[in-house]
Order: sequence, then structure tokens, then C-alpha cells
Amino acid sequence: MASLLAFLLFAGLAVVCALVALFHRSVVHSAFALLGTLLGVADLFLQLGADYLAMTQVLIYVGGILVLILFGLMLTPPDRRELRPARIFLGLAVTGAGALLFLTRMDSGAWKAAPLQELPDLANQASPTAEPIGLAFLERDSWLLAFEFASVILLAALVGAVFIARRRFRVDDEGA
Amino acid sequence: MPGPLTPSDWLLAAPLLWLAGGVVAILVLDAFRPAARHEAGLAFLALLGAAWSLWPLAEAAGEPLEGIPGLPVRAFSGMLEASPGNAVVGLLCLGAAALAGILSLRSLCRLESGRHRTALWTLLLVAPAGMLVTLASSHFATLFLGIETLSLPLYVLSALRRTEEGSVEAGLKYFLLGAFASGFLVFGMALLYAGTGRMDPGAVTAALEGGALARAGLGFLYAGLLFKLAIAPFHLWVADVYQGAPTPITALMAAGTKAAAALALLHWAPPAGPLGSGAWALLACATLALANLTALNQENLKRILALSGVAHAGLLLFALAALQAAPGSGASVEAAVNFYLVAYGVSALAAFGALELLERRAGGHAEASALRGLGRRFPVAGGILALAVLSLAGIPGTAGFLGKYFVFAELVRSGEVGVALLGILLTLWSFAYYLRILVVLYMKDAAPAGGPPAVQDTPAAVALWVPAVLVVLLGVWPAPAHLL
Amino acid sequence: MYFHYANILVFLVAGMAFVFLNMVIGSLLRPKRKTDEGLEPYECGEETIGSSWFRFDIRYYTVALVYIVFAVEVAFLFPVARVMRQAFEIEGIGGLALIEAFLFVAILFLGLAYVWVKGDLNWVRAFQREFEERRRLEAERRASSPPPARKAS
Repeated sequence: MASLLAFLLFAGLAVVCALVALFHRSVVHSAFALLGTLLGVADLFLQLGADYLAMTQVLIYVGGILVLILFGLMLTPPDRRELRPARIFLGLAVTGAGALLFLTRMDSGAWKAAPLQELPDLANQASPTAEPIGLAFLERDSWLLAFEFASVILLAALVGAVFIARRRFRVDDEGA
Repeated sequence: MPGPLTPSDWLLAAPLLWLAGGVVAILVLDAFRPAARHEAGLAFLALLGAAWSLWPLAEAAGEPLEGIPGLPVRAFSGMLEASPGNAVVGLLCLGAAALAGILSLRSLCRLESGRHRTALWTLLLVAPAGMLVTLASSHFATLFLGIETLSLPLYVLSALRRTEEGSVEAGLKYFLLGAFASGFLVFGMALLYAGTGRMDPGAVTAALEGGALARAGLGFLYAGLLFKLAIAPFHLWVADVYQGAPTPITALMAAGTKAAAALALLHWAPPAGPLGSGAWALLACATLALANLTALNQENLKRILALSGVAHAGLLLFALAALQAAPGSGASVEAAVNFYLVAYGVSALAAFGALELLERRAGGHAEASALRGLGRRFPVAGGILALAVLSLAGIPGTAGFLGKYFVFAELVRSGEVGVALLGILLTLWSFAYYLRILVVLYMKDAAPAGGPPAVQDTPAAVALWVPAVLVVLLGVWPAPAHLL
Repeated sequence: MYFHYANILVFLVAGMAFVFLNMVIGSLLRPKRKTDEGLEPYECGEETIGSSWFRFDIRYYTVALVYIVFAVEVAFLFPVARVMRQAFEIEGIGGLALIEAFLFVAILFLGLAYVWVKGDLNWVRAFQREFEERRRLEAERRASSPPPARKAS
């Protein structure tokens, strides 16, 4: 019961905020509305038993990407032109068609997912996925290489991003 | 069975450790001793170390290495898997990074008074690390990480000339489209995992027998890979990005990225199934035809060479078609692909490297009008470019010819003679624009010397001989690369 | 399972309530005088100049980018930290777990050190340094006459 209530609450939050993000005239307000959508999706992950994914969603999307989007918007000159409803409705129509297709075909055999090995008992565990993921990162037989290599790509991303955003000199003395 | 690393783990991880170690050393040194300009030396040391640690595998022809069970070598319980032939292609990627580095010594390293040397060298080491992981990937995690790790530095390096619009545009275009492609790739992986519950290449086999969910995933996965390989219809970014990026970086992209993505595609190619050889052959022909058609009316030599790269990637798909038509031919097709990649790689390195030197003489322009007759004025660089173009066209006696020959031979052996004939005709068509480059280079009325005299760049001029010699050497004596 | 997350719910509700309550109390207590001056945004008594919708400095963006990289790092480290004690007892991992985690952190920490030392995180002093460097460059340029070749673009 509590689950259903929470689902309705957060799914509603996600949908309403997504609509606000779509239709609000100010892009900054749209970005803030995304906050609600991302939080709502995080709750959906949580209810599906993916606690690690929910945490990542909050940490990276709500905490990081959203801030980046806001700063990105602040970097660009304000654009307060009219919305283009035609484009929005086209997008909605395409997405809606996809969702409809998925909903109607979901039960047919074609879309059946492979059976998962064993689902942990979600009802009695606080964090069904975070611990197995942590162990997988540390074990040679599973994701150790990927885990360590991820730090290299993050380092490259850091160096590259800072280079791109670095203030530039007027002095152009190439080739000397 | 968890445990410390095994010898095969170390074997495949060692090149990555060398490269990562180089990155760390460069950053530490630059942060705490900024006056000491050791970046280039450290980077070459790291590249050499990586090549040295990859060498035993590249050399192991047919016989397993000491303490390592069997070939291909599997490391980290199936995360990475590499055969000796893959190791040769890995060496090519390392060499491409080294050549890009040498070509940058006198040009890119001095941009904005050398403020970005550290970023340049760090990224030049990370990119080949990503290529090595990609070409040996046999798990979704390594495939995605590898593709991201090779792309991310290249996005940034393409935009290295921040004051030039073309370069920034190239970086942005590559980044946006590449991000979409990565999205496709990872979405495909998710669907494949949902549909089959597997993350190794076996997922592809399972997906072909499975439901629509997994098949849709397969489509997305290949869309992502074909984008990196620049196959029609995902090839539209190539000309703009190759043209806008600084030429040394273009050389790295042409030789390295293509090789890594092609081997990844081969690793993840479906076994003979409903897709059939027809689909791959059709894609290959379409790519060749489109690339040829577009290249014919280009004015910029860099764009022509970029589209030639697209055509070469298309030709590779014939090998996949051969694999589909004759499922038992895995080993010989892989050998043909490995040789083809090395042959195209060294030719592209020689071509773009020589073009970079000529471009500097022409004041930074790569238009045909600016490069008119430069082959006469600068016989060495012009000669190397001409040789590389002959190899790209596939003139007998060069590596490029043998590469094409091996691929078409596989195709004929698999019984697809008609497709092979069509492919050869399309290849002959491409002679038109290769010939055009030669005509431009040795045209009578030379272009007036554009811009100021360029810096004497001895390291680049010397380093260019390596791919040039390899083009000829592999053309007459293919044994070392082919038989592995 | 929801009860495991009751503490988060309490935080969420408390945080929202705090903001909301303050706004409600404020609207009840403050005097309501709708003059032109009263409706302007309050900036320490200064009169506002122009609109507040203007372009921000790119350095905000650099900081946000660096933040994202470290947010991803936390996302990776969190599950590892959770099982650290457990990992010590597993045969074959044991103390290695500490080394593995340390390597991961060290590589990224190096990145932070690099960005820091290079002055990309500096806010005000960056101007000074850049100014000095630009002057040095100009001086170098003037010293080496004729002026160095510039690439035609």
C-alpha cells in the first residue's frame, strides 16, 4: 500500500515536472523542473530494487548534470522567443507512439526478457544491489579491470574538459 | 575463483599500465616541475614500454606463450581477449599515436605558447589505451569503456586549435555525433542484456535466436560500432571532422580508431545467421559507392583522404560478408582483416603525415589549389604522399594492394564471386580521385609559396620514413603481419 | 522495503518544510507596500543595473565539470567502500581491495592536483597570472623581431 502510494506520488511528480520542463517559456525554469523528473525516476529505480542506480541517479543527474545544464544555460545568451508547439507535439507524438507500441506488445512473447538468475528478496533488504556491485568491482573475475580503467577515462575527461573550458590567450604565436 | 592476477592478465594489462603510468608521470611532473619540459620524452617512453610489453604476444605465431594457456589470450576471465594478429594491430595503434606525437612536436605542442602540451600528451596516451581495450574487448564493459576512452581524447584533440573555427567545429561535431553513437551502443547493450542475460559475444548468438527485444538491441549495438568505423549511412561526419582536426590527429583517427573499431566489430560479428552475408555486402557496396561518389568532387586533399578512409572501411565489411557466407573461415578471415588494417593504417599514416608537412609549406591549406605542384618542390614529402596514395589505391607492389587482395580472396573462397567482382569494380572506380591527388602534386604550374617559410621539422621528416618503408616492405613481403 | 529509506524521507520532508515555512512566515510578518522601489530585487541597497538574465563567466562551468567527474568517482567508490570490510575476509581479495581502491582514488586525485596547480580552479588570482603571462609573451614577441611567423587562417 505504501509502495503504491509512493509510486503514484513520485511517478506523478516525474510526469508533471516533465510537462513543465517541456512547456515552460523560460529554459531556466525548464531546467529546474527537470529536478522533479529526475527525482521521480530515481524513486522508480528504488522501487524496482535498484538502490545503487537510484543513488547514482540522485548523485550524478540531480547533483551534477543538472548543475551543468544550469551553468550551460547561464553561459548562453538568454533566448526568450516563443515556444514552437509544433515541434514539441511532434516529439510527443513520436514518443507516444513508441510507448504505445511497447505497451501493447509488452505481453507478447517477442519482448519477453531472459529470466534473471535469482532476484534478491527486495522486501527485506535495504540495499540489494550496492554490495554485490562493490564486490564485483574488487574481484579479478568480474569487473576489476573495468573499475580501474574507469579512473583513467575519468582522468582524461577531467584534463580534456578543463582544456576546453580554459580561458584563452589573445596572443596567437603558433609555429614561431 | 577469485584471486590475484594471472600471467595472461598481466600480459594484456601491461600495455595499459605503461600508458596509464605515462599519463600519471606526465601530470605529476607538470604539476610539480612545470619548468622541466619532459612531457614528450615521458610519452614516448610510455608508448615504447607499451609496445615492448605487447611484443611477446605479437610475436607468438601459433605457439602459446610460456605460462599462458592457449591462444588467443584471455584475461580477467573473458573481459579481454587478444590473438597475436590483434597484438600487431595494437602495435599499429601505438605507432600511430607515436607518429601523431612526433608530427606535433614542432606544431601542436607550440599552440598558444605551449600552454596545452600536457593536455596534448596526456590525451595522446589515453587514446591508444582505449584502442587497445576496444580491439581486445570481449565483454560489454570493456567494449563500452574502450570506445569511450578512445573517443573522448579524440574529441578534445580535434578541437586543439581553439582559435580556428574549423577545428572547434570538428571537435564539436565529432563530440555530438559520437555521444549519440555511444548512446546507441550502450542502449543496444542494455537491450541485449535484457533479452539474453549475457554480456559476452555469446549474447549476439543468443540474440539472433531470441526475441525482438534482443534483436533491437543488436541493431543499436551495430549502429554504434558502424558509426565509429564510419560506414554509410553513419559516415557523414568523417569528411568534416578529418578536415577540421589538426592533421596529426587526423592520422591517429584514420589509422587507430578505424583499426580498433574494425576489430571490435569482428569480435562482435554475428555468426552466420538471418542477417546473412548479403546485408554486409550491401552495406559494403553502398559505403564504397557513396564514398567514391563524394570524393570525386572534393577540392580539399584532407577530405579526399577522409573519404578514402570511408571506402576502406566499407571494403572491410566484405570480410564480414565472407565470414557469413563461409562460417568455418574464421581464422583466415581474421588474418586478412588484421593485415588489411595494418596495410591501410601505415598507408594512412604516411599519407596524412606527408600531407601535414606539405600543408605547412602551403600556409596551412590543404586545398588542391594551394598544394599544386608541391610534389616537385618537396620531393621527399611529395614522394611519400604519392607512395601512400598508390598504396591506398591498391597498386601492386604496395601494402594496400595485398590488403585488398587478401580480403577479396576470402570473398571468392567463400563462394561470393559476384560480390567480389562488384567490389573490385567499385575499387577501380576510386582510382579516379587517387589519380587526381597525384596530378595535383606533380602539376606543372606550381602554386605560389603561400605564407611564411615553415619551420624545418627534422623529427617529422625522419619519422615519416617508417610508415613509408612499411608500405613497400609489407607490399613485397607480407609474411610478418599476415601469417600471425 | 520502504522503511529502510524512512530517514531519507524525513530529510526530504524536513528540508522542504523548512523552506516553505520560512516563506510562509515571511509573507505573514513582512509589511506589504507595493511601491516601485519595494518591488525591486534587494541588492544590499544598491540599485540594480539591467536584467539578471545575462551570461555568466565560463569558470562556473569549469567547476561544474570538475564536480561531475568527482561525482562519478563517488558513485564508483560508494559500493566499494560499503563492502571493504567484507572484502578483507574473502580469500583472494583481502588486502588487495585496499590497493585497488587506493589506485582508483590516487589516479583521480592526481587529476585534481593537476587542475589545481595549473590554476584552472583559481577564481580571482587567475586574472593576475594570466595578465603577467600575457605581458611576458608580448615582451618575448617584441624581443624576437622580425615578428614570428603567424599561421594564415
